[in-house]
Amino acid sequence: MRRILDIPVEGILPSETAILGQQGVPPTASSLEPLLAVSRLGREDMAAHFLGRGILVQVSVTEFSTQYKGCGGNDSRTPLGEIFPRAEALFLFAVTCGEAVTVRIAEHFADNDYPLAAALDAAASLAADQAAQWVQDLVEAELSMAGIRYSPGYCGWHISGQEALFAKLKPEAIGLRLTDSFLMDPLKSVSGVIVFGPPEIHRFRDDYSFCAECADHECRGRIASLNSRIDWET
Amino acid sequence: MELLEQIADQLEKGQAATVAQLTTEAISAEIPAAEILNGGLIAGMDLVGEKFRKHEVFLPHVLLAAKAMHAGMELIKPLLMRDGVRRVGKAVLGTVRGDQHDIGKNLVGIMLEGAGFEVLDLGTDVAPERFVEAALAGGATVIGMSALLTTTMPVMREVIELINERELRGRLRTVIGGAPVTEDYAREIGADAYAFDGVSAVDRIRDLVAGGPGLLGGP
Repeated sequence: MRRILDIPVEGILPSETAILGQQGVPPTASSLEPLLAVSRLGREDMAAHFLGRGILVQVSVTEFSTQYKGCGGNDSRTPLGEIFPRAEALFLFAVTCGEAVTVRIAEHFADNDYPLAAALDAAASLAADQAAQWVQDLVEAELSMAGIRYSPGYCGWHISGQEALFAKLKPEAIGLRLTDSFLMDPLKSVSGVIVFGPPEIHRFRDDYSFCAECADHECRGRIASLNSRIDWET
Repeated sequence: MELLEQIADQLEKGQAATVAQLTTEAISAEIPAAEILNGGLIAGMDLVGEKFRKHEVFLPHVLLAAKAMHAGMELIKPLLMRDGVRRVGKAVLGTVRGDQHDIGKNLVGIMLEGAGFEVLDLGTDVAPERFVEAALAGGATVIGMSALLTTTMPVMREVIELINERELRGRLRTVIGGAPVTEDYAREIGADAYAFDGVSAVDRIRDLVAGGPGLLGGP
């Protein structure tokens, strides 16, 4: 079943400190007040223009196997490739902050208000990710199970995988389309698959060939977060 | 504190309204526009750039300063044109074909203008031919390319190959950047320089415009 979701802005909006963090400002930095003031404006602008929508479809392991293969560009060994065959439930998803936010960022640049443009851009990136988390939380609550989400373009899943994902999700219904280079339009959007299953399937070491080029190793945080939300078998 | 120093100081602090007010005072005092530009506005951007390099300030501080720079520039731009003041150099910027990400490229453009360059911003999804044609038509000597996807990075190589095919190497120099781009990749595809952020892009482009060797050891 394909579900279309309206994502409330409450709980999605990042904090002013998080907006600064997204722009590389550590919380310990000095002279933060003028920066926090701009972040506050960016946050308010985000609240006024966010039109969050999401789309969600459950697929079988067999069906996802074809979708994951996509155009055949994936790395030969990936965490997702090894995890999804053991999943108990798989949900394809896409979320977007909406077109108005993207337009607003461009307007601020055109008005030479660079600090506000960058603050809104940072806020929108965080909000898109938080919107994906909102959808994940929703399914987790329904299934009483914790999951981890993966997106094309990361962790060895080739970005061309977006094509198969979009063919199934048909997210045009929420104003989201795919460009020829597999980018989402509006840009401030997130898509992927949420994988649910026994805790042990989610454990992996980040020593795949592509992990060396990864700057943030976000997977460690996600696995650790999962760790705190479920009872791991020891 | 002298007026130009005050402009630089207030610009570094990101005080756009004060910079505009002081710039107006400097114009009224008949300080030549080129001096206001170099001794006030660019000097202020250099101050904030230096602090950024030392991690004493961060990107939003630099953007506040750039906004203040713009407030002052708007006032002296007509005077610079009247006086025939030449800019430090001219660069074409764009995000390569197939890529829509533009914040990094926009930030590089802002920093370059703050450093006294003239910038021709071609926007996003820019085809290789358009980079080269725009640079030639606009008299730019540097092409700056941004890509945020591993799938669009190869377009940078296409631009450099086109420059080579048309025997424009040396006349048009290239600098590349973007999240997945590395200095090794820049060397591999024959780019003149790699920049990892807006401030380093200004440094690299300054070097290239001054005839510096770049990654390839020469123009």
